[in-house]
Amino acid sequence: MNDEIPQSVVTGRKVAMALLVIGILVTIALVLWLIASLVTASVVV
Amino acid sequence: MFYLIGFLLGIFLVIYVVILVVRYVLGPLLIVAILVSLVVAIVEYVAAAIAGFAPHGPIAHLRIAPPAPSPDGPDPAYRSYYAGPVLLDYRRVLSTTFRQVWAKIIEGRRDESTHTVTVSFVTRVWTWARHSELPAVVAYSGAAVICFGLWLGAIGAVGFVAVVSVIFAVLLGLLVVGAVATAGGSRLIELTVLFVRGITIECGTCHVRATRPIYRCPNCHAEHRHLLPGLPGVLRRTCRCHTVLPTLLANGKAKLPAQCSECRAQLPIKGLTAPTVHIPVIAGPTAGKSVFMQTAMSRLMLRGDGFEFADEGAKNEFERNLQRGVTDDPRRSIKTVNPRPKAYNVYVGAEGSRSRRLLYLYDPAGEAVESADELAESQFLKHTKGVVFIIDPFSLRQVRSETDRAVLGRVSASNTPPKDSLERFVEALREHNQWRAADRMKAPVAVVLTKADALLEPSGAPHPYAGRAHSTRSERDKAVRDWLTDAGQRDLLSSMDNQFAAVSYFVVSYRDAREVVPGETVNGPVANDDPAAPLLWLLNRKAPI
Repeated sequence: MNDEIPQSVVTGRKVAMALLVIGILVTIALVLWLIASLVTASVVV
Repeated sequence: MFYLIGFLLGIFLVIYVVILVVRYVLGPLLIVAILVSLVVAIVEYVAAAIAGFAPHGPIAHLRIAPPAPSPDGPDPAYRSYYAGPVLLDYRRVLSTTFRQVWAKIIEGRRDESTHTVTVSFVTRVWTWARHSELPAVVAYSGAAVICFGLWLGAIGAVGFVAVVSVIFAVLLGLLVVGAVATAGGSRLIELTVLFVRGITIECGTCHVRATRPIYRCPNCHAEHRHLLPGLPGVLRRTCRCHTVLPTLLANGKAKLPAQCSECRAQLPIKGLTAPTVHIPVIAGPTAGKSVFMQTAMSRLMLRGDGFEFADEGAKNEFERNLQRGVTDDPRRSIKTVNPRPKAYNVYVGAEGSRSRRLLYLYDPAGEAVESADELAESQFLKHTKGVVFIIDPFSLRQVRSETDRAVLGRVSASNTPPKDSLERFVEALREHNQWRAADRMKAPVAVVLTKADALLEPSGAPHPYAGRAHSTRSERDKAVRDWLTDAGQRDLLSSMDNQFAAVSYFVVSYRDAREVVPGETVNGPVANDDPAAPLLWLLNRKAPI
């Protein structure tokens, strides 16, 4: 089965996975930044 | 009054208890439910991504299989992963994620293959509430809050996946745009370099300029008619046999075997890496064309300035002639019979240097030069950048009359006067290139006197360079011109001067195939020209494009 998969697909999938991991990390960072800004927002009385 | 106060206090107490329950029990329950749902959904997403982008995972859904070979259809190459298949993989990741999240959190499903039923979190919570020993209101309130939290978490996970998907799409787009821009820029630079350096490739067999060579996979020999950046790949593509093929010359495309798209003949190896120079070698029958070419090739090879055969045919012919001993006895050469010659392709100049040229030498049969019709069909003449015009000194009447009959027999003297060959050739050359008769042709001409070894004989005509062993190029030109004038060829020289802008004269012998050895004559020392000298002179003075 492995012999039938072109090397370009193997490499392409590795690169795509790396991009997705970057996307997930960036999103988590965004969510944490959002929560942190909400928690530390100054309260107007 | 006492009862009213007690009633109101009771109500306040209940409200206070409810507030406490909401704040310290149901609130945390809601948050925990949201977090559980969110974490489960994200874990499912990551798991689906790892499975979906597994390097050696299934590819049937990608629809990248190469098309069947056809004479005019697309090339037999796999579609590039980034030209669509990556999105199909990601769609699979998303659908798997949503199916799993729905089954685990919202509504369980039955797996038909394993006959197992996945029970969702929501179902489990309601089942717990139904069987709980807590008061119904507490149990169902708690269950409702937990389910609400699970839903909220699932919706939050969808938002998370949506944001990740947008970032992923942007990164993917940047990657594709970057690759396309790189390939487009490289292709543009490649075309510019080819144009500026005047690099083209012509078929040595049908003599047509090959604008779209057909490249063959070196492994399975499949034809790739459009080996350029495109859907099968930007910088490289994958052939049906999984061989990776470069799409740009800079990446090594020039090293692939290429064919003419018109006649399917093999094009020179490493074509489009050096400017081409087409040089017909013109002479009447038995004037010594083939022997001159063999000795010239031998000297180009031995000089060490960079030489490489550009096609197997030329290499095989050279080796056959060597085995036959043509450079020891020219009578062993096989007579040229093809009126429409196949080019003899060699590279001259060191690989990678700007002086490197792809030489196309044409050796039409002497009979073709005698026939105006044959010359009219010689399509290779339209690429001419220079001419080697061979003169057999023993074809000149005056020289023949002074030469011993035994010598004439030994050198197989040509019977065709060079003036006749020149006139027919000039007419054909002007016709093919549409050069006006009034203008002198810019293609330089190297006039080569062959069989110079026979001019060393004490009797007969003298050697043109006798007594001029260390003369300069211009002195040698003058010596040959004087010699031809003395041999009654004033008309030939006038014709040369009138027809061509640049003419130089050389004297060569087959004996100098390995090394140019000076000799002695009764008139003093003599050294022939290097047999490679006419070609090197033409390469340095090739006609403008």
